[in-house]
Amino acid sequence: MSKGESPRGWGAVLTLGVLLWVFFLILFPFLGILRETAREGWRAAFLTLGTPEALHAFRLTFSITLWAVVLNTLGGTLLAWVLARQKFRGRLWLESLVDLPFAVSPVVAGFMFILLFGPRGWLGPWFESHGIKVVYAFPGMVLATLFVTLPFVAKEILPVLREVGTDQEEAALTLGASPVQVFFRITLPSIRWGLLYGVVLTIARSLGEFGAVLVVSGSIINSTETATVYIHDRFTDFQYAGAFAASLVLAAVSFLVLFIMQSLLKRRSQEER
Amino acid sequence: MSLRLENLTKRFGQTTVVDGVSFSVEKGELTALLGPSGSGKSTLLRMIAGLERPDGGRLWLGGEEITGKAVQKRSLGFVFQNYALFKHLTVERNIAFGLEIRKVPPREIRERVESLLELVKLTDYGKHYPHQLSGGQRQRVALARALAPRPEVLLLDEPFGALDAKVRSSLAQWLREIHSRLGTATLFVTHDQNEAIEISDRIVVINRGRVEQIGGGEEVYDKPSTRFVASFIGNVNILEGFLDKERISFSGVEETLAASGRGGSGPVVILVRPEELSLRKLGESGENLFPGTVQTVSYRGSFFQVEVRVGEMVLRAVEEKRNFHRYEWREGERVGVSLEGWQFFEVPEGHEEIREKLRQLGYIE
Repeated sequence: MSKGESPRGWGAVLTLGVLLWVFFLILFPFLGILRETAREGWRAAFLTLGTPEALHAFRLTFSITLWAVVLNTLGGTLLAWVLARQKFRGRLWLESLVDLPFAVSPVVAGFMFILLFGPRGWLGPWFESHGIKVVYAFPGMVLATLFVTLPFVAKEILPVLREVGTDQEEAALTLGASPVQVFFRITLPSIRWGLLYGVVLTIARSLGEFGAVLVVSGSIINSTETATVYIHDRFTDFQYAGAFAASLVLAAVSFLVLFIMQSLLKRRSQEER
Repeated sequence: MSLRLENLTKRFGQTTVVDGVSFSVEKGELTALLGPSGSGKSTLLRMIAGLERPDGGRLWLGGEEITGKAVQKRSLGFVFQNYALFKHLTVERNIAFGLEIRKVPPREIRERVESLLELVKLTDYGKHYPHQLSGGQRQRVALARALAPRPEVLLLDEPFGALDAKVRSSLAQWLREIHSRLGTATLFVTHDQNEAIEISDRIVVINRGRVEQIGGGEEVYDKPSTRFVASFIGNVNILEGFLDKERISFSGVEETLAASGRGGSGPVVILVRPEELSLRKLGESGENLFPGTVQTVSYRGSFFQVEVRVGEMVLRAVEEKRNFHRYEWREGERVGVSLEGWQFFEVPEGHEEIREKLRQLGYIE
C-alpha cells in the first residue's frame, strides 16, 4: 500500500480493530491516571510531590537508574564484544544465559539477592561484618536493577557487532591503529545507535522496575522507597492523590523516553544502509 | 624494500592451508598470487599482513624479521576484498585515518589527502560517504587509504573480484600505472589468470597451499612446470596417453604423436591449448594429424569453439571467425585435427586416478 492511500474493505475493519485495541490497552489507562488526578484536584496532587518522602523516592529512583545505566552500559558493551569477537568454550551457553533476566520474574530475582546477601545468606554475614549493608539498602537495589536490565545493552549491540564484522577493525589495524584506538575510532562509532537504544531501554526499565526492587528494598520510607514503591505504598494506603501525581510524573518520563527511542530508531535506519 | 617469505606454513585444525611457501617480492615489482579458491592464497596474504599468525616459517621486510610483529607496527598497506571502508567516515577521513593515527600535522594530512584523491581520480568525492559511491570508486578509496601512510609493501586481496568485467579491466590497468609510479613492492591475490598475466611482472601460482611455479606471464603460460599450472592457466585439452620410445599412442586412435627425443616408456599426460589445434579438411596429409568428427560448434563472439571427437577423446579447438567461415565446419562432419604444439608430462607415481584409467584402457599393467 502506498503512502496516503486509505485501507478498504477488510483491511479497513482490521485496521480499526487494531487501533481500538491499542487505544484500549495503552492510551486509555494513561487517560485514566489523568482523570483520577484531576478528580483529586491538581493542586493537592502536585503538593504531594513536594513532600520530602516523594522527593526522596524520585531522587532514589534516579540515582539507582544512573548507576544501573553506567554499569550496564560498560558491562553490556564488554559482554557483547566478548560474545561477538572472542571464541571460547561455552560461548553459546553464556549467550543464552544473558537472556535469563527476561525469563525470570523480577520478584524471584529480588528474592535471590535476599538469599545471597541477607543476614542469614551466603555472602550477607561477610559483608555485614565489614560494615556493608547490601539488602534493604542502596547497593542491593542497584544490584537488583542491574540484574533486571542486564540484557538490554548487550542484546542490542551483539547483532550489530556481528553484522559489522571484523573487516573495518582489521583495516584500521593495518593502518597502524592500536587495538584500543580501533575500539574507540571504529567499533564504537559503528555500534553507537544500538548502544544508545540499549541505554534508553535500560533507563526506561530502571525507572519502572518494581518487583525486584520492592523485595530487596524492604520499602523503608525516606530510605529505600523508590518512586514505584512509593506509588504502591500510597495506593495501598488510600492516599490516592500522591499515588496519581507520582504515576503521572513517571508516565511523563516514559513518554519522553518513547519519543527519544523513536527518533533514535529513525536516525539508525537512516544511517545503517 | 623487499618482502621475503621463508617456508611460511599455516594450519587450521588438521588441514594445512599454507604449506611451506617461500618467495620474495622486490621493490618496484608487481607480483600476482594466482590460485583457485581455497588454495590458501588469501590466508597467505593475511599472514604477511599480520592478521593471521603463521604456524611455521619466517617473514622478512628488508633486513628485518617481522614474523611476530604486531599488525599495526608493520608498514604494509592492505586493500581488502570487500574494501572494508569505514562506513561512518567520509572519503577524506577514510584516507586520512592512517595519518591521523600517526599524528601527522593536520596541514600535511590535508595536502596528502588531496594529492591522493587526485591520484585515484576522486577529487570531488572527499565529502561523500562510502555508501554513496560505486564499487569501482570504493575500490579506489580503499587503495588511496592504504597508500596514505606510504607503505613499503602493498598487499591487495582480490582487488577487482567484486567488479564487473569492464570496470575490472580498466582498474587493473590503472593499478599497473599507479604501481609503476610509486615503486612499492606490490603483491595481489587473484583467481583470474587473465588479470594476473595482464598486469603483473611475476606470477606465483599456488595450489593446495603450495607454490607450483613462479615466473613471468609468458613463462607460466608457455612453459608450465606442472600439469596443474598448465590446466589452471588458460584453457587446455588434457589427453592421457602412453609413451613408447618415440611415439605416443591414445586409446581408440590409430595415429600416434611423434615425441622426439624423449625416449623411455610409460603413461603420460599431454596438454594442448585450443589455439594449438587447427582443423583441416579430411584427407590432407601431415605430421600429428588425427581424424575426428565435429561434435559441437558454438559461436563465442570473436571466435568459434569447435569440439571434435577423436577416438575416445573430445578436443576443444578455437577457430577465428575468418578461418571458420572458409570451411564452415558442421556438426557430424569428418575433419583432420592437427596438433601444432603441446606439452607432455610423465605421470608420476602416486597419480593413481590416471594410472587406474590407463590400466583400464590396457596401456599399463
